[in-house]
Amino acid sequence: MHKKATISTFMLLAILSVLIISFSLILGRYSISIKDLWLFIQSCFNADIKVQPQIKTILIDIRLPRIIAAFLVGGTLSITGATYQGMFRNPMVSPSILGVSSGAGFGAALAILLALSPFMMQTLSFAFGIGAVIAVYAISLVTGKKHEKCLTLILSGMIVATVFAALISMLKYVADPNDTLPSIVYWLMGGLSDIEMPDLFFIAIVSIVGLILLSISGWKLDMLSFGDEEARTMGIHVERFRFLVISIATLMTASAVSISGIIGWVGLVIPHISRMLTGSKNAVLLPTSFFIGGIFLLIVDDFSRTVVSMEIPLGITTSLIGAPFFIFILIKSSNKH
Amino acid sequence: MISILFICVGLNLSAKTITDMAGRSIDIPDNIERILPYDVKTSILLFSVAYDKMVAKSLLPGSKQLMLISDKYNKMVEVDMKNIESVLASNPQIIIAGAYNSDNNYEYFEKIQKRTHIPVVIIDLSIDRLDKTYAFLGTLIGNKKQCSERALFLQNIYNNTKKLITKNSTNQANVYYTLGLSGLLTDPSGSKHTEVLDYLKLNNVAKVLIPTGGHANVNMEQIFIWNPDYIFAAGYKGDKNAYTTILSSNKWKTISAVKKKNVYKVPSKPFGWFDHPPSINRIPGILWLSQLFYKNSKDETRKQIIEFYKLFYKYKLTEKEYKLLFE
Repeated sequence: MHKKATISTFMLLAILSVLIISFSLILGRYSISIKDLWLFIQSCFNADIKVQPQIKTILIDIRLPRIIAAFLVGGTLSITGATYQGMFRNPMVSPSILGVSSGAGFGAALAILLALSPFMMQTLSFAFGIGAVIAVYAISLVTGKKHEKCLTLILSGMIVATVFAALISMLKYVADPNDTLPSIVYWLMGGLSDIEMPDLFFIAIVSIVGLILLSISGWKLDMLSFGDEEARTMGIHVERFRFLVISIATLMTASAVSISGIIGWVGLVIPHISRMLTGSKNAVLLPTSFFIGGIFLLIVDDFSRTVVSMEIPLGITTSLIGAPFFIFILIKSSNKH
Repeated sequence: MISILFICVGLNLSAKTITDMAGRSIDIPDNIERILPYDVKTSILLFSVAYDKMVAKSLLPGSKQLMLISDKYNKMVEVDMKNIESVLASNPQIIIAGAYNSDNNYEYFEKIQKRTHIPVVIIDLSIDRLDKTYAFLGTLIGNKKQCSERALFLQNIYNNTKKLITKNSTNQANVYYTLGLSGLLTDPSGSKHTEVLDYLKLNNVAKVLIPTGGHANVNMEQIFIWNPDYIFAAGYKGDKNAYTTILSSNKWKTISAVKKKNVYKVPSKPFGWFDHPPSINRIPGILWLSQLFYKNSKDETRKQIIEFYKLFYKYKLTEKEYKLLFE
């Protein structure tokens, strides 16, 4: 891809993001017109203009944090998915391949069972997400002396994910079926309905720093995709680099999952869609994935919160909207070639 | 194992045929001394009239010691209905299973009956028919006096409530019921879990498209639209729960119920007053709501609820404990 084309792609994505974010602000169960939104924006600069307090609550306390969260979570899951797909040289890999989602799910379920506060729930979820990946890395170091490194990592990920899945089932089994169990089940299906502004600081910092770090080391990932030996001959310290990438990606995914619950599909498919648009050069692919993932999850979440009076869990809508969309993209791209 | 099976089959031989509350005819032994309740909701209902005949109560996941109920209930052994061998080992003559008159699929019960060779008698747990259920139990298990006393108590409450509702039929309050932590998990209208609201003809604002019969997650904007006048929060544990979330969060402060200070915790000891599980424990809920919405006097409500705890939980509720129920 030429430099010019890359720049115009990014411009397009940025404009699209802003448009969809603004559109999402006027979308919701409670009807707020463009005029209301305009009045509200004016009222921020001009104290004489008054708007209903409820409109302010809805825009600032309810919709805005949720829109930002959807964008950041979608972006984070997609960029980490793209990173892992490159690093493991495997198109079937998703950000949860190293057990981060299962660990985070266990942490959240435990917090719900112990009736801890929402803050503690996010903290436990984040901590167990990280813990799971540390366990995976440790297992792969012990078991993987003579095996292929990537393979042992993936297998260790499967082991740890299975253990945490069993532990989650156990917590569900002992949970009070009246209120604790449904809370756990809803959390595991993913959703952003009770996001508040303070929940976003951490993920905002982690995801933006991660976006920059991963994007600038994109060329190293490109080298890695030729194989460990080739990367070594290019002067890359493969082990250290892989450890760094896993650390960054894990921090990003854990911070996303801890506020959103488990959302599948995005991290697996958005990288493919992005690759069809921009090619597989990681320095371009990774930021593109971030933006497309953000836009995608934002649109999906708009559906989740507006279609019917009850929330549709994001885990459901991402797949139901994402699957036909992916088929469409596949057809389009195969016609092109 | 086999010998137990033979005993069970043997017991069935000296039988009479009855029709249970679901209209099924079944053969049961003449003198019933060993009863196993099918689940927790049936256990609670049976406890007051048949605790000396219950071989076990049903397993309630996640619960520890229950408060404000006779120790006899806490000390009773538990049997998990999923474990057929422990069901057989407890050696009951009959299994009593609660269902609702809206149910019409009794396949589960038939299956248990077939596998264990123990007759399963179905009783009705519908909120408006519990008096009939106790009358039925009287003839089934023979504790006629105790059963009819409870049937009468319930009948009085039903009649009284009906009168209060017709007298104050202008009540148009919108009610929102929530459980869990965020305040956004609700049991929609028409669900078994909110039958207390339906019985009292209160308008449950949560009308959702998909009639799951269970829980539903809603979002804050939807609650703005519904703008309920009353909010009831159940299942509060720990320091943070829907009740504290609703009262402390900025988002909720413009909701009518919060402005008018009409946010209530649903008492939960020993069992929830609205559901958890949907059984006899909903009767205090009816009494409490008729005080809140239909002008039943405070004294009368308190008297009836204390009487309920005495009759059904075999627990003498003090005035202090009564007050604590609401805090």
